[in-house]
Amino acid sequence: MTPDLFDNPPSADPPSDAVQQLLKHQPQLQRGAGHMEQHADMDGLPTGFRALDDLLPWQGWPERGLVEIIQPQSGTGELQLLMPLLRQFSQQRKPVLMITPPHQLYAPALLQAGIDPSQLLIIRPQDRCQQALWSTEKALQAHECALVLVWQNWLGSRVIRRLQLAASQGGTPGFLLHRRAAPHSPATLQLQLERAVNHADGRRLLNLQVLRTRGGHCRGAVEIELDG
Amino acid sequence: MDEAFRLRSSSIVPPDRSPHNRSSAPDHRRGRPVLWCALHLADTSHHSRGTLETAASLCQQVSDQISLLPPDTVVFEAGSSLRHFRGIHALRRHLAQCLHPLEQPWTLAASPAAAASVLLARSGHDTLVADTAALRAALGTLPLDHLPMPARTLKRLRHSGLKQLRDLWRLPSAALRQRLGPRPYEHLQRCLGQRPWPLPRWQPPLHFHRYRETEWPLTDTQQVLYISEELLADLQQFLHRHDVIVEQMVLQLHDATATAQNMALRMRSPSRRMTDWYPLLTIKLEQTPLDEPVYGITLEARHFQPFRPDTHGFMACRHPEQQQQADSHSWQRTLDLLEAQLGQQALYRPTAREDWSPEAGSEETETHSAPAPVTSHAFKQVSPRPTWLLDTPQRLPTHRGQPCMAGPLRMLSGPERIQTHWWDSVPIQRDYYVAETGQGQRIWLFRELTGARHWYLHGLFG
Repeated sequence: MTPDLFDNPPSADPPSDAVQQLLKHQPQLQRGAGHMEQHADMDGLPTGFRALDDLLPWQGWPERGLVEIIQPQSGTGELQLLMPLLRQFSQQRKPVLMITPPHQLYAPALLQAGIDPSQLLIIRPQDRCQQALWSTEKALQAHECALVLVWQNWLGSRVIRRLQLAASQGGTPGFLLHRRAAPHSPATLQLQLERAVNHADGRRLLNLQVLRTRGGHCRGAVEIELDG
Repeated sequence: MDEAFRLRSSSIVPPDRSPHNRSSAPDHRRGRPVLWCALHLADTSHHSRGTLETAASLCQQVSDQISLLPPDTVVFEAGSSLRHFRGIHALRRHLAQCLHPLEQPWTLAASPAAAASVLLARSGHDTLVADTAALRAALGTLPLDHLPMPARTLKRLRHSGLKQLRDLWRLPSAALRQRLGPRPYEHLQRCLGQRPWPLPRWQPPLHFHRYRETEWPLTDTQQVLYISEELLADLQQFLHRHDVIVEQMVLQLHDATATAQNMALRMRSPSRRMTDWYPLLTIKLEQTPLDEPVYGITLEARHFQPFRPDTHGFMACRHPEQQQQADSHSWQRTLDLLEAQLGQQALYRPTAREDWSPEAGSEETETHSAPAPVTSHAFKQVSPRPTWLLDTPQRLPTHRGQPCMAGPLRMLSGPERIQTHWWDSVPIQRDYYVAETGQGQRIWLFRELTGARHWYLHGLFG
């Protein structure tokens, strides 16, 4: 390795041409085993948004593990982002568990989106956060659950690591929606929702930022069009 | 009733093994007198399978060979119990005590032929016929309509002048068979003890009840769990032996004063595996504080279902439907655990209702029953509804008559007028709008059409 690699902080950008050149001309350099292998053994679940599929290394949501979605406030299109996935599981009659959602999930809206609300199970907000976390862990460990969505104000890395482990064991995709990003999050994918913008032509665009992917260098922003 | 029973029952005594006595009593089976008792429940308003089974379970105190003849009669063989009770009188007295919880009048008839006992009991004869030879005389005075036979046959017999059973005895058997028809004739033979009557034996409902006394008073949940685990193992053996599964059970923790702390365990999907019940039991016990030291533990289960094994073989792959079913059972167990930990009301399923009132459009339903398929398509016709609905509409401030939410709002669509529930005490008259906040939130808000015409936030388009 050349000394300047240590002098410069590791770049957060996707692998650039310079890295490719280095790999090509320095035979003693090798790409660290990690992200490609980790991504290779996991399929993706289509997000329903082409641009997002193209950005994510699994060509969709990771099929197992925890996805951390940071949204400063609800009502910014967080459920619309997950609607295609919910619709897919609803059509396959697979159970989806929602843990401590911030408001009442309105069944007519789900019907309008083509989702059968009877396939959804909801755990009411609990007095104690531990109860919600315990439920989340149990649901993630149960491989029969197709999807677990959990809402919390904020969770730290230590808790996220435990949920990530449960999701990996159960082979279940879990989505954690909270307000602030956990530093050094061990989640499989960390996303930040920016504000949705309503255009004059009626389109509603949501800005997404991929903050980190586990074992990889995939980062970037993408704009997706929401249904309504 | 008792008097009649007593007067005619003198010949039934505990069996004597002497050769003389055996030869004099023809109705013996392996040296024991055969005595069929028919218990007829007289109160017709209470006739049900449950009442009959209750009576049968009470009759288990005197016999293990019991049959039910719905809707009103229990038949049991009491000959084998005569020696134990030292005669028919003691047996009947004991039975009367046992039947006390029934709280309704009954008639008991006993004879060597089950069909004769039933006929006598149903006709209200509280009597005992000791020998087969005496059956003709005992039954002779009964009217013909007590015999199970078609109404047309009965009418024909009456027109022929035959009114009582004794009138039938006088006919030659060939003519009798021709007049009665084969089935009533066979039944008549059963009544006279000339033909056996194979009755299906009643199996009492399964009941698991185990009590384990502790060696010392238990004050720790882990100690209770340890003994409860042993009881669960017993239950698992019981379930395997009877090839059944169980959906619910009750664990009772007894203190020194013999009062019990009951703990109901229930699963959505019945199981016979201890490994399915144990986590549920652990959660329940951890949640239950031990008020008093525990001196004994009882595990009880009553309602069982037949076990249906998976049909896939050892080497065969599971059919997708079977896999789905197995997953479903496993998912039910997870839900049971969640419910045990969080409480029964913690889990719900959102369900759409065809109601124009926004508040009534969605309701929370319990999760124990299987979800009903969605049949309503009415909501697809209306304008978009928000994914999040606030439990209580939140009043919005206004600026120059326009609603605000952390800044001015941009109206995207509306108004959609909703006027409904005018028949209620709280009618709804609102104009709904979809708007966007300065932070990019899309919201659902309404303005009241009556009163102060305030603006309210009612939903968010998540």
